[in-house]
Amino acid sequence: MNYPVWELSTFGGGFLIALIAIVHVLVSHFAVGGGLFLVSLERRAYKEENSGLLEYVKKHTKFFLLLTMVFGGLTGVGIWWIISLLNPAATSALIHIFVFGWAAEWVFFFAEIVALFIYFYTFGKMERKKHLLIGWIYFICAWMSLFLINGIIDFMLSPGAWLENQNFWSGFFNPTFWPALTFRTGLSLVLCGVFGFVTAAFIKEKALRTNIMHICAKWVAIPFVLMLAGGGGISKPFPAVSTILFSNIPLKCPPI
Amino acid sequence: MLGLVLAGAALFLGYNRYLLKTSAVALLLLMVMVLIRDLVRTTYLAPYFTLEDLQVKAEYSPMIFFLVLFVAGLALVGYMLKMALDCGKEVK
Repeated sequence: MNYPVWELSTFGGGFLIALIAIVHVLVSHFAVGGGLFLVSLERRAYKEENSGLLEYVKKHTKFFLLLTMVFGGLTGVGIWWIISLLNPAATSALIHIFVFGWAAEWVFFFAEIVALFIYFYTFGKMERKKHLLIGWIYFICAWMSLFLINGIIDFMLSPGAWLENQNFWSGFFNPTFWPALTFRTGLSLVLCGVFGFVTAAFIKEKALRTNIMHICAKWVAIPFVLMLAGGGGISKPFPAVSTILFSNIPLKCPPI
Repeated sequence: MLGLVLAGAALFLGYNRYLLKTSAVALLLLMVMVLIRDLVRTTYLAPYFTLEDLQVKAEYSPMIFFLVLFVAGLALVGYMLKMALDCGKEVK
């Protein structure tokens, strides 16, 4: 929207969307996988009666809460702000087509926020089983909000049968829905391992630090398989793009 | 007319420092403002566009989907808050 005063000659609107979206995607996916990371580590700490690990989980929860709820929340609003300024018509269409999809997503988002705050503020004060249950509720709600947003976002990439029948569910379960869901689930688990490295690096006790680093390395490596499987699936509906990206390049590159 | 009466009431109550009453009247006033704005817009656009021009394709399943999740979500939040309020101070 360049008229009347919105002039973006230097960077352009695409740059602004990329800037806010990439930052937000990193944090919002971490918010999903991080739930499983926290609850699994907490369970492990109880099982092994490992107070050091439990203390780490508590500290990591604080970092997780601040990063996902404050920074993630702000950048999420930032995305809406930027897309509605750059392309009000497309934003309006997305809201109108999926209004109840968004509403359902906000139900899960609300439950997710409540669960995370309870999880953090009752750490060590609530019965273990119940506290783990809150952690599981957080993770399930966070993943469900990913599930719902995934359908709406991928609609922009591949509207599929919606173009013919304008049916909500045809748009939601579009051709890239399942592969993108697999990819995003993998990404969210990989990222919680990556952010785990960040907080684990500050642990002073060497044995505990090494132990947590090993756990984080597994979280990064194993779900990467999901990313590969999902990534391959996303490119399937666009054979021309995948040909350009993957097939032609090696032929055009001179041998090293 | 109602808007004008409410605006006058909000000013009167505000100057006399009735916080809650002013807030309540301001909320009502806000609703009237929304309705007036919609009325002005509809009248202004009447020669070019009316809501009847839009083609409506009824689709109820997404709304039912949302309502079911909404009720379940509220129950879940209530359950979590109950657990949080019931929890003791320090548990092994």
